[in-house]
Amino acid sequence: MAVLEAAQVAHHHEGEHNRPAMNQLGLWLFFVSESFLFAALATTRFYIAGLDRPEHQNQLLGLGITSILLTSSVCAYLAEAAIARGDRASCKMYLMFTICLGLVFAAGVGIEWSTAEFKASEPYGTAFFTMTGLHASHVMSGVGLLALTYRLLSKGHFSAESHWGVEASIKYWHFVDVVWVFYYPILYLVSW
Amino acid sequence: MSEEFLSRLDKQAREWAEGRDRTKRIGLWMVVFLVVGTIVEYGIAITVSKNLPIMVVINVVEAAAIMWFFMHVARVWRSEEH
Repeated sequence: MAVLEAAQVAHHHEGEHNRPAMNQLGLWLFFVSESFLFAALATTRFYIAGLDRPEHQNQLLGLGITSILLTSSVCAYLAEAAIARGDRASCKMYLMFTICLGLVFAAGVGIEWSTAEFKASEPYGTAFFTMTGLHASHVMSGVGLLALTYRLLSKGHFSAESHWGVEASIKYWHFVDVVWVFYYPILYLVSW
Repeated sequence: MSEEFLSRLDKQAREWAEGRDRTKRIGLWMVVFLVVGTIVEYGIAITVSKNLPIMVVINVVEAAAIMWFFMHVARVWRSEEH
């Protein structure tokens, strides 16, 4: 209800100063719609492959890439805090860390794919490759967004007062991270 | 430059540094919390056979922390903020 009220308030008060509220709402609605897609795939994994995890899985690689992605989210947070203070140099530095960690995560997924002991035609393999593939495509689009943000920052865009572009791309990165927080145990750890 | 201007500049610099320290502290605590949480989760997964309920609790807490501290979900309810 509060979200709808926020939308109504933003609608009634037309003008540039209400743009951030509408942007926030639009972005969060996008996250909600994306969540349904990710949740549907997570449900499919349990439906076609059961509640147990396979025995032959590279657990250490899974743990490693998860830690890397979580650390990248902290770097992204520091980048957003830096631009909110008007500290462009720190923002660029933390953005670059985030991009690099995102690429390392994607490389880890690539290693996992090439060394997996299960086939894509098996029920678990179907779920694993679909879920990690969809998530990795979001990671790569996030890296692309962050790289674009970095380039715009280098050209002098964004300031402490106006940095929605930085905020939105970083929020998207955090969303991708939240999805993996659930996908990691679903694919690697859960058993019943 | 007037003394007032210099003192305002000094105050602004102090606020800037305090803000930076605060965000770094939150960032540090969050990385420790998330990485340790993930390692604990992994430890539970390899030692406890029926771990689904524990996993759900750990992951909901981790996701909530990211959404609260990093994604500033509370701002959606505060339309006037940037």
